Amino acid sequence: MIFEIRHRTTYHYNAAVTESFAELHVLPTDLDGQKVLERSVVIEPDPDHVRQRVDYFGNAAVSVAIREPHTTLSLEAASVVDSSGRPTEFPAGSGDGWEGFTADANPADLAAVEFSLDSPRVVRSAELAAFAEPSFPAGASLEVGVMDLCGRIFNEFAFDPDATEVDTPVSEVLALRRGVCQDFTHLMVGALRSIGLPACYVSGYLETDPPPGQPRLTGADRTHAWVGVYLGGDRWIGVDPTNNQIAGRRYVTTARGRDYSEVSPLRGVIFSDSTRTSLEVAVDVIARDQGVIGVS
Amino acid sequence: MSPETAVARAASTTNSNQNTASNIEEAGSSLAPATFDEMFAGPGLARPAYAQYLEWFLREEPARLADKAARAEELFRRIGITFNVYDDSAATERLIPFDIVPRLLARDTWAKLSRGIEQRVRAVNSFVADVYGEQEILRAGVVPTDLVLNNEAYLPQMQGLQPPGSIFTHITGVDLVCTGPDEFYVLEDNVRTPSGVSYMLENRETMMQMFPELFSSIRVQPVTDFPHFLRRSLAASAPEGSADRDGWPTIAVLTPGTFNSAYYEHSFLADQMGVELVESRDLQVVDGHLSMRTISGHRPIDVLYRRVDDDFLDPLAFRPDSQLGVAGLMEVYRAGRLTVANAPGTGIADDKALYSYMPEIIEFYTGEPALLNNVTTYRGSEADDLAFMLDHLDELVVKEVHGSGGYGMLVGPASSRAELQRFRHKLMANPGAYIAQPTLALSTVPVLAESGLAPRHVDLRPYVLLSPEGIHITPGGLTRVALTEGSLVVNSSQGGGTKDTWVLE
Repeated sequence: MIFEIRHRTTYHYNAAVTESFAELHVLPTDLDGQKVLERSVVIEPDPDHVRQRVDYFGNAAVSVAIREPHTTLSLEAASVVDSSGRPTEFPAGSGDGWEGFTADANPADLAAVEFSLDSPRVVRSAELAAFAEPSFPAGASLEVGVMDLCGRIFNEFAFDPDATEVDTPVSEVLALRRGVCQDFTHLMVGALRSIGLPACYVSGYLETDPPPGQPRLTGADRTHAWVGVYLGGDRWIGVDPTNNQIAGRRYVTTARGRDYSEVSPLRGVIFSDSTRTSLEVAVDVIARDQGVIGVS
Repeated sequence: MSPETAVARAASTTNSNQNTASNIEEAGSSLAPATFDEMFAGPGLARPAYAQYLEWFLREEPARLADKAARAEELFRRIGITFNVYDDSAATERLIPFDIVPRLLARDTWAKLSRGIEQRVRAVNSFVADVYGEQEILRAGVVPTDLVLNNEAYLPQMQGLQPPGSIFTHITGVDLVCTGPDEFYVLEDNVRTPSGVSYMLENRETMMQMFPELFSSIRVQPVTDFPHFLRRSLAASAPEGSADRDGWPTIAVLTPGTFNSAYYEHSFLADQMGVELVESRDLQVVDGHLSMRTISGHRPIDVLYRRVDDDFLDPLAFRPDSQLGVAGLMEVYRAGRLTVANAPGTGIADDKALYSYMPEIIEFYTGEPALLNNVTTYRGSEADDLAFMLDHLDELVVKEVHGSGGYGMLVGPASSRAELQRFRHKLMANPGAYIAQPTLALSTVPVLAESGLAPRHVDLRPYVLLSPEGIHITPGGLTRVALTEGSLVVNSSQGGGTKDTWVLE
């Protein structure tokens, strides 16, 4: 499938901002089997400095510096992505015992080790390991274990945008049994890592319009987040605990990192007397030749 | 005059010198046999490097020396060379005590030592470059991957960054201790923002003012040209093409400000190098360059000698609440328009948990065995080591993996039963946060105490400059001395003092 994606972020300040610096993760890149056909970002006011680079995790990062005084900042990222190459099922071999995919079993695979360690927002714990364990009896296949854990989060946790904040710790989500896609993703990443399995945080988009007669998928109002499970040899499979499914061809990956802190769409510093900031985010995911199917 | 005649002379001195002479005997004899005194080979018997100095010393009137010591202190006070002690509300600024008896190193001792230092410093730089590059050492399994990647000092933001000449550790302060003739151990490789070089320079300056006659009779290798070498080394590390404005790249020293404990040193070094001393508020990213505000407009900086910790360098890349750094600095750095000295993330190489792997790290990058000794290190994170630590707490020095300045450490042999017990609980509560090492029989060098010469334990911090042009090691460095009798803690924040260090020509 080919998607046209528009992601517009607008900040309004109640006093002039004299300088603004930001790092953006809003442009999809060729990850997870998808192909980016076009991408661009338009920033107003005109930046003093813009540079795009590939960050450590292989994502497109855009650095921006604005030195023109402004009360409104708008950033619009547009891209065209072909998602047809995204994996829709676990590859052959993932039926093997999950223990073979742990960092301990693959000490020479640096990605396996790196993505199984703590990260700024996801810290392994005995509680998280205990939460994961019922899904991973000895010898169970990786696929069965991961999908079982994914299903348990989907079934046992309530989607509730009012229950958590952007920085609610994973331990609290585990106790609350509610949250949003970011919380469920952190929870699942933490649970997998706590039993030694490497996993990453993926941010991106999900086509949201429900097919006729099926329920609307939750959590896709803005950007979305899901889990990347590492399979070794630089292969990943996306799993979405918010919707209990593989992150297949209706998904587009923007960035992948150890947790949200490394892939947040926009991270910035402003110099201003402004005391109030309002934020508008608008995301359109449009399947080509099929009209507008997802607007939020 | 030979050392033997010095003894004879000491024994036959007049009343006024008797005190000194008897204390020399004490200095040579009261030490445990395991302790190596760098000045005395036996009671009253000077080692060759000190023969000439001791001869001079014995001719001096004790009263004159005491007077010189007082004047030296006055001089330091006037210059304003002070440091702040954290967690000390009584006095925020203190003078580091200075001892007027220099520490001497024979030319051959130094030559051997500096070969070891060069090897170590080059290997440390290669290690940092590798960690933020290909990570070959991790692939080879020489160092545990999680110890590096899960380390607080490791900065993923540095991945793939290629500073000019692949130099990350422009300035290193290697902490060494001596345990016997030509026996040196490295305690720590300080590659974040090593401090203390201003004391080394002021110590020499003061000694030259106090005792000019000594410098004309004893040939000492110079250290006062350090600021010149520092400037050259930083300039040679500048991004390509930045030297063409006036022949020199623009260098600036970034300080957190006047409240920082080492502010004196920051302003001193900027002054000595003839470069600007800047704070966060003086800097801005303009047209993709780090620039300082001057009365004639923005002036781009090519090399930033920063004395601000990694976390605070750039609120965009690191701690968002930092007021000490510059937003966008890392982006300028990544774009190759700035050299940051030392590079952020170099702390991964002087992390105490990684210290025990230094011999393997050195061999991995140089292909040769390490020339300098590394202290045997037990890791609280490993069950066997932890058991050993708990069993031998009274014999070990236990340190926090991420601590510095001698805080939160336990010197087993010098601790009371209650202190040991308290520490045992801390250790068991969080074993991974600690490492332990056997206590080394640190060498002593006499200090001038009220009663005469008295042996005190010392360490040595030579400063090493690395640039694409090469390496420069200061002959000598900063000798820190534990002024309390028997104490092994030389940190200035814990009652340590300093001495001038002379490497003989």
